Amino acid sequence: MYNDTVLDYFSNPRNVGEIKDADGVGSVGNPVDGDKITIYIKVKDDTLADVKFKTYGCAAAIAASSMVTVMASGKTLSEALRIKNEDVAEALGGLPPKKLQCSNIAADALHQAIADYQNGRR
Amino acid sequence: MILTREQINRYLRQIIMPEISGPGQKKILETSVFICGESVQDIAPAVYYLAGAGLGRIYCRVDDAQGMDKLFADVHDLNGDVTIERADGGGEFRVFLGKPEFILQKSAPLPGSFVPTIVSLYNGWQGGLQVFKDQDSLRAFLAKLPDKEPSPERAARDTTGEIVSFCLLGTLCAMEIIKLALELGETADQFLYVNLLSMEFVRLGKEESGAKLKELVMGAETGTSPRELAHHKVLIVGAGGLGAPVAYTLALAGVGTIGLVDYDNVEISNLHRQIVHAFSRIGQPKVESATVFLKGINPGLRINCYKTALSKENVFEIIDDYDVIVDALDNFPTRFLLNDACFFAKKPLVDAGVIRFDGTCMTILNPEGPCYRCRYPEIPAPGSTPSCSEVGVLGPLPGIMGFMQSAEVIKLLTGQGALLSDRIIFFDGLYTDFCTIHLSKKGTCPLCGTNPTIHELQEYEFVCADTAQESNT
Repeated sequence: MYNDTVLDYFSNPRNVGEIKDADGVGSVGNPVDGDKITIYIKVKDDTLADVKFKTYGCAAAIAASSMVTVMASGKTLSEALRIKNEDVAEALGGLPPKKLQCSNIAADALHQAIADYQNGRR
Repeated sequence: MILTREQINRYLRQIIMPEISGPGQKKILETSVFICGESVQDIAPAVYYLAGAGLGRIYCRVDDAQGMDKLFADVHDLNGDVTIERADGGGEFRVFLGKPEFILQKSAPLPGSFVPTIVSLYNGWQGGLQVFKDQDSLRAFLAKLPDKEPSPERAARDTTGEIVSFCLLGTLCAMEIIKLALELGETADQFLYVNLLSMEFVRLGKEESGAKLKELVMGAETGTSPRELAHHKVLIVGAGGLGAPVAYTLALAGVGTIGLVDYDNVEISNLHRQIVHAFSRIGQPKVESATVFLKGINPGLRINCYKTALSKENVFEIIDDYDVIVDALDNFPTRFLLNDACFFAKKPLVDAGVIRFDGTCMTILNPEGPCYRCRYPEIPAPGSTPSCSEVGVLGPLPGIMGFMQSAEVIKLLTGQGALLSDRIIFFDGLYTDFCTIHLSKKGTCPLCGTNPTIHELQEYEFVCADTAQESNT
């Protein structure tokens, strides 16, 4: 069902965890499937110095979260905001069609974390 | 990849939990444990569940090695990743399982450096366990354990109680070992007292534990002799995570007839928790695979297989012939169907549910007791529960809850003890915490209340049919 890249990012996720003193936090959920993705960011000089995630969900959701943190790390905020859910799926070498809608929401969580930082709530 | 494709599929339900993930599963695979018990039966539940979860090296020592070869063969077929061998020591962790006399005799710290040790003892329906992280606390515990001469009454001991006790305690030990290996949550560093006759699960402080241990060892509360179980019939709906341990104990205890209902076939991702199945039986119907295993335990057991999904059309016909019904299901719609059918047919129903590290258990006495709809009046709406998502389950968890269910079944059949008919047990495995919530019959219950709105079976819709088969039990 999943290709090797997805299985690798799922079983050996990069940047998993929380950032205790995060500059921004974004959380998205998909109530139908129960997936919940939370992304934490640390910003330095308008650049994402650290990105971590914590995800409850299926293999696709975990792999997508992991991939988006890898793609966003070291990017400027405006670059990171241009990462789309489809880009994440493409970087993973594709996701099963059923999973594209329900679990491929990691970029949304990243965008929310950036918006959280820009709104200066922290 | 840190795990092979096959390993990812096998341990999917554990890897999916952020607390474990791939690196955690790899750590489990690299862990070794020494298990010492009086007999093969004593250590088998802990061994099966540790092997299923992928604990890499299991060293076993038993006084009476009868059945050891079969256990090893079963373990090899359950999980080829695991090495199991006889040894007199070793392991990063140690488990001692047995009756109090055995524990006193064997679990004195072994020569060499101390490793974290779990001591689990049982006497009839009572038992307990404790995790020791240093030599001194283990010594202090053993000094507190009353020395008991084997007495003639022990010959007439309650073996059904002992079966459920060592099954449940062994599986709790398996869970504690995994938590120790991954440094997860909190282990039972104080004595956890378990009484399956009264369904008490208490963490004891240092002061209280002395008196309770004495009571446990001297066996004040046991001694009720079970009536013959051979003429009884129990229906287990679901031959998966919960159905496996329930069937395992009932086969050991000598229940005459077991009915198994399951439409599904064995998959590799089942094997980390469904100990009655095996790698060599992948693709076979679960009811047939379970039959092979159960006949191995008790060749005289009668097993009726129903390879079908439960429906409003077939449910009454299937449950009609049985004394007790066990809900070992993994989805809400069928749970509600079974609850309603058992209410109308006046059949006792023993329910349990598991997810991640948590489980619940209750017994429904129809028509007098509170039913499942007293707890949840309607089938939960899509999105309100994580039941259809793949949020994972730790392998030993359904074992613990299923063994609890089997204690309830045996008590129902033999008229002993206090049932969970007016309370629900909630188990939080991450913290080895048991919590009891009292439940009374609800006047407003749509099924069993004073003005019921449900008078016959309804349509029980699957809210997400395409993912239901991927759910956890």
